[in-house]
Amino acid sequence: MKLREILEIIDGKEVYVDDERVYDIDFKSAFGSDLMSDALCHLRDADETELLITGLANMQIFHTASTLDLAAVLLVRGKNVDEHMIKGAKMSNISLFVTNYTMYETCGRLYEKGLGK
Amino acid sequence: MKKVYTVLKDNYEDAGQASRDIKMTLKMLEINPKVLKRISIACYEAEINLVIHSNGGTITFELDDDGIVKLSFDDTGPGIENIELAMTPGYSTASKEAREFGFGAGMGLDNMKNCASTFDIQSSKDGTHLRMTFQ
Ligand SMILES: Nc1ncnc2c1ncn2[C@@H]1O[C@H](COP(=O)(O)OP(=O)(O)O)[C@@H](O)[C@H]1O
Ligand SMILES: [Mg+2]
Repeated sequence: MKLREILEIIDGKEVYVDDERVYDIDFKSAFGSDLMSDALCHLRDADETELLITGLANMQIFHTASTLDLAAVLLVRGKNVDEHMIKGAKMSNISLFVTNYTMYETCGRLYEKGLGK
Repeated sequence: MKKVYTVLKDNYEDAGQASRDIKMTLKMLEINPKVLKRISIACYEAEINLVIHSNGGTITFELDDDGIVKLSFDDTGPGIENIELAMTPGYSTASKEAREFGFGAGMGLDNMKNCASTFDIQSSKDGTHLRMTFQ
């Protein structure tokens, strides 16, 4: 599933795009968690076709995404994304998107439309 | 090649930066991406442990002539009382603050062990010493 479609399904917005090619990635699956250790364990063999969905609004989401070779992070519940967050995304070369939906609704909507099904 | 990083207790802001630097260094050396991923995961989890569980310490990164990567994490306490228990997936003494920070699932040590080629941990009240190699 391409990002344009993902963003449409969850009324998502682009916050920071590190590389325009993120829009060409065909996302195969997503992982939703606020515990980064959880992602570091489950996504050991993941690549950029995995979308990290989280409600955690700190630098560790970018460190985690970059450790796992991911390309994009989706922040749920319309977390107020400040300059500091954008700087973090930039430092880790991660693209950041945001949605107002909760974790539950975000995952439900994307799964229903076939992401990771 | 050898690099040493200092990691401070409760420095949530900078946590992960040493691991990022190590990953960047190895990436430039064009190391096998699969191995690099395992190194990055283990290094990051161990760095976080220094921040959230220890009194602070150092990370030593070494790359020898045979291409073997060695990572050592040495802190100054308070140590791990029961290593076997600490290694159990799901066991965690992480504070509420650490959990809000995104860590404390109790999966770190187990994940590191699975990522590394060799894994050795020694601990006393004076500090924990973790050594991992990757090839
Ligand atoms: N460097 C350390 N110093 C003291 N205790 C540690 C250290 N690393 C790990 N521990 C102990 O081992 C437990 C398990 O660690 P880990 O598997 O990484 O899980 P987590 O960090 O999520 O708690 C920790 O909760 C802590 O009690
Ligand atoms: Mg840990």
